[in-house]
Amino acid sequence: MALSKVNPNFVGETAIGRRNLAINGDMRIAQRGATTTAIGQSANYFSLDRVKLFNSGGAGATYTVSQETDAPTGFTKSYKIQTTTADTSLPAASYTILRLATTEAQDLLRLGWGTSSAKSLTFSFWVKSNKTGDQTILAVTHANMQQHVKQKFTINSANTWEKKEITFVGNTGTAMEDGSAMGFGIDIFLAAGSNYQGGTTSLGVWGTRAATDKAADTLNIANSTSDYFQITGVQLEVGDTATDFEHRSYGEELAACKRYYQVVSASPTFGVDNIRARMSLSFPVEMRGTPSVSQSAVVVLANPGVGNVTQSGVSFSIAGVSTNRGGTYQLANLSGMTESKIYHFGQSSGAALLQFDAEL
Amino acid sequence: MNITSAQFESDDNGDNVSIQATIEEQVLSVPLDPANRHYAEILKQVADGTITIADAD
Repeated sequence: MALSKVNPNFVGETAIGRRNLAINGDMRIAQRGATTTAIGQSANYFSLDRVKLFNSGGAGATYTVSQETDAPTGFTKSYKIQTTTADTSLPAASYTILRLATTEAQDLLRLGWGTSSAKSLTFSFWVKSNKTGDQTILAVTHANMQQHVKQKFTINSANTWEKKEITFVGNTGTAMEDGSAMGFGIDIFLAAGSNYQGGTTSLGVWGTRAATDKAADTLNIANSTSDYFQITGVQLEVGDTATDFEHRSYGEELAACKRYYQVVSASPTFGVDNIRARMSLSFPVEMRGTPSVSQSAVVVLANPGVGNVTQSGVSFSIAGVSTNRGGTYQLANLSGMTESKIYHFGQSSGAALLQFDAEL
Repeated sequence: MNITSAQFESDDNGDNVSIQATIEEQVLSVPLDPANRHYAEILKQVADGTITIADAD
């Protein structure tokens, strides 16, 4: 039978697969561990993948970030930031920002920004907090653009999951350069000093990014150790309509996360001399760029038939060739090693992980 | 980004291949790749005069 009619809901740009530009929007991936405590002044990724926390500008507030099983219907995990040390008198230049949905510029060129037909982006999410009121949310561009556009949402009821939908108009003035640098991200100002609450930036108007011109409304979760902010169901999609959350498989989401961060927990190594061992690794997913490398704890290498060799302290470094596909890496601070002998990392190394970071 | 130390690391030929840096209280081996966010920040802070990069051992 010939198909005589196609439901228009299934031919629009936003209804066809791969709608969600955000990775780990349902907060199920936590390669860095489920909880990070005592986060002071810092700008980094903690616990959950693809969520960056800025706690900068000299405030005394500290936070715990965790993956929670408390989530709205249809979700199983959420991201929670809980204040653990309050600061009731924030320095003017201080801010606490959650950065979400960071996207490489090369994945956004189809938006046609810098032209009269620039397409909008719509950001939707579920949110919960003990605080109520207006909260500024900024779409920020990096790479060559360095611009932002402001919107806000309102938390109406304390301690209740609420869904929010926000559309950011396309940028007709400036084109985005091709490349793997950060093209776009969403900033939520959870606390801010007076510098960030001033200025005249209007809702929905693209302008140059300027620290002192954000006119930010903030829930100010730095104010009390009872304060928290929780989020999940993050979706960024082309167009001016929020659609239902696009659920992807755990494996698919994890692979997408590995473009930016991945860990290795086992590998053969060989002795270089009596204190060093090396390994050559090929990443299962090509990373965004050449990663920085680190280790989570001292490594124990198994020496077959002899015993174990334990590092006296962490030391994991790039040993030569290193690219976004892999490279040669070195463990040091070992002892009693034999040149060219094979040692096994991961056979008796406990929780030690080798970490590779190519985040935006 | 809080960077408290930075020192070049060299390969077996003595060529610099990375920087050992303490960033946000974590010791990292950072590649000399401008697309890497840690290396980009190191270059920025060197240009600003905030940090210097020590020679390799």
